Amino acid sequence: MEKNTKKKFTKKAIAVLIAALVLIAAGAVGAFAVTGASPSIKSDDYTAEFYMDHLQVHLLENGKDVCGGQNTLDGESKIKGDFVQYLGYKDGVLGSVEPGMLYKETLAARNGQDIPIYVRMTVRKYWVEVNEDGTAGDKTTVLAPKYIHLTYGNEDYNKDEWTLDKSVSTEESKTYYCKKAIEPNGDSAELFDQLIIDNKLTERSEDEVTEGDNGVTTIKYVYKYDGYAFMIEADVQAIQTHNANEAIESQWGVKNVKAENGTLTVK
Amino acid sequence: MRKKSKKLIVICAVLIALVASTTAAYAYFTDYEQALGGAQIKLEGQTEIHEEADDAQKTLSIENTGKTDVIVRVAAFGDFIDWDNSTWEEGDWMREGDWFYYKRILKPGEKTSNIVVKIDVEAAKKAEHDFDIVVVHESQRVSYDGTAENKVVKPDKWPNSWYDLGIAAESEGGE
Repeated sequence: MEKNTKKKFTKKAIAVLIAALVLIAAGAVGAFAVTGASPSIKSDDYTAEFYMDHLQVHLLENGKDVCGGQNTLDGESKIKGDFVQYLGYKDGVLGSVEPGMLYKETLAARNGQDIPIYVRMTVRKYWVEVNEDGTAGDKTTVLAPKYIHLTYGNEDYNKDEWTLDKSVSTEESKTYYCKKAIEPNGDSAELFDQLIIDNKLTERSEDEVTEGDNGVTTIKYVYKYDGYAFMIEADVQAIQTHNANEAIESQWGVKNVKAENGTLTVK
Repeated sequence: MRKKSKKLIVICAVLIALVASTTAAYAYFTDYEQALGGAQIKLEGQTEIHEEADDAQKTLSIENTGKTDVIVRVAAFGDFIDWDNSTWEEGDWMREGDWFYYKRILKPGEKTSNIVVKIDVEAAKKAEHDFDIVVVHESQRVSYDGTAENKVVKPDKWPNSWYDLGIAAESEGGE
């Protein structure tokens, strides 16, 4: 009797095991289907190259890919690009800026591949102290990010084409979603198109008056904010349009952003 | 027998967990790029006047020795002063009252064109007292108006006639 039961359970166990293996195999196939990867086929006579669809997004500043067009596959980290090179910034060494002057500063995204993508861009603005060697030093809270005006004409940003996720917005960091998918090898609409450092920074705190030995009197204007540097950091992220809602929730970790009829909306 | 069934349950649970985790590990296509940049604000304007005395005249020029764009004006006070009109009329300077205003933005390291102040020697010879001539110059860091033209904002002390010249920075930024 005991022997029979044992046999019974062994058969059941095998059945369950087979079923589980089938499920695992199905899951693996499913994962392949989602990632779009297909294995290579190889024989003595014929070799098919491994092929994998992937996304490629580029960050554009004034129409140029600031990251140098790094051609990388999905998931690989990339070299950071240099913004505002026209102000003299290069490899961490700061340039200089005239407060109140309007600079052309367009930010946008480019789809570098042949499948459509949705994109979002997180922009951070802050102030730093400047090291003796002219590089950016420690972050400072003396100056407010609101004095760094990245705008689209007279608007805060291009509201027709991008939408702001207010739920994660701070004065320093904001995340914008491009409403429409970017077509293969196409560019998004510009998020911003100009940069101005507020003239309010030029308010004088005090004047220093010195009398020279030669009878010359010198009045020196002292500015409280002299010597600090502004920083702009942008991170553009792309995601597939297929199964977009699942992808957005899974990869971007947000539940309030939905793709509906080819348009991204922030709830 | 109970032990066997427990084992089976454990195996099944592990397998189910494996299957569940396979589903959760679904990958989606993503990509990203990042960039960073910044620039320093240098507000301290500093200028230096250069004077070259030659007989009864002084040749003046002002150099921007600071780190920011400035505008400058110069004046001379005293008896028997005779400005040499040829050095400023139709040149880079304009006169308004006692002051001469430079009509360009002076960038760091740049120097104005010369302006010459003369003494009326004949009148001075007739003078029966000593006299001094005091040269004064003033600079002010440029404040731009934040428009596409990047026009210079008029400082309080600068005259409207100077502002009406529409002095503006050359276009900057981008390509």
